[in-house]
Amino acid sequence: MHPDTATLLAYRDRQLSAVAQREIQLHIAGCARCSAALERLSKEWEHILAEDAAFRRLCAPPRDGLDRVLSAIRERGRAASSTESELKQKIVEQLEVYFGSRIWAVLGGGPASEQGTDLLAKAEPLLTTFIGRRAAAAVVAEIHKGADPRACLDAGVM
Amino acid sequence: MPPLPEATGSRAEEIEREVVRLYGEFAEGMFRYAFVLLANREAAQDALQEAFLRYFMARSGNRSIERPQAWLFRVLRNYLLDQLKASSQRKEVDLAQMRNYPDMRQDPESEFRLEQIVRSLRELLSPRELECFRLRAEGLRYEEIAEVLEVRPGTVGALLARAQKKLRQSSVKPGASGNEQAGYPVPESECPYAS
Repeated sequence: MHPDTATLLAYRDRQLSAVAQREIQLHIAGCARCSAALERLSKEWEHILAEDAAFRRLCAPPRDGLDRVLSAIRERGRAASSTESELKQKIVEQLEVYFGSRIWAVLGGGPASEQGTDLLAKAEPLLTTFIGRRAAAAVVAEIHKGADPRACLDAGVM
Repeated sequence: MPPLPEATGSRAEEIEREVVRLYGEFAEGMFRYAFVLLANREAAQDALQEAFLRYFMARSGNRSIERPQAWLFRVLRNYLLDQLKASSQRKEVDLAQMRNYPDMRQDPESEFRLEQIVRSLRELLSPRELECFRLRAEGLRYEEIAEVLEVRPGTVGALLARAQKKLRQSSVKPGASGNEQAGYPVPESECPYAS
């Protein structure tokens, strides 16, 4: 049975499994019709790629494309860094409201040594001990939202 | 270029170097792929930028990306599909829109030629065939194309065979897409399907 065009193309592109590649190779070696078809398909593809070269020449990204990408990355980095600082500051403020400045000794290390999210992860179990799991989760959620966790009191969570 | 923010540290610099390397390897192909789908230089560049930005964010989150080329093309494609959907909802005509974003680097004749090539390809091939052909022409393996298009590798082979056949057949009806230069004419004598 002769391989179809898709199989011949896949064979030409070396995209078949090793076994299938070998089977087609053996078939082509003994089949003039498929051998000729493969040759024609290959020439056709080369011709298409030659035509595509014109498109490639005409269609290129702007010269400052990489600069734009890097600027976007750095802008995002600055924004993330700023959000992180704000979050950290809020955590420090709010935890000191509950526990006073001695909280840092309990958590191990000063506030400056921690990333905001890490700090919050460390503080949550401690908050849970004092105010309960549900209330601690609410406080953490409020801090993440950037709100004042004392609003939880008004909402009746604690 | 703006300085790297201190807070991002050496890890960010390392990923940034990775992005620079990948941009050098794949940006041109990704841009062509985006351009064929959107027919708009600015939109294609925005899509390219978004894909690399998402790569940076993913790697910053310690995500391991085994095949960056396929990953970048897949993210790019998802973004492009969103853009096309949004564009269709706004009832925009993309080819007409392309003329509103002249690129000073290109002369009008080149831009016209490019527009013709893209129009010709889009008329000739189905969207799936066009994507498949473009990805293969950019050097992606069948497996990678399948990953990008979310189809089976066997489907990739069938799509490519159909695309190649249509591209060959366009030579039978030169100018059918509006201009002989715009298509991918194949001399009939070299065509395996010619009777």
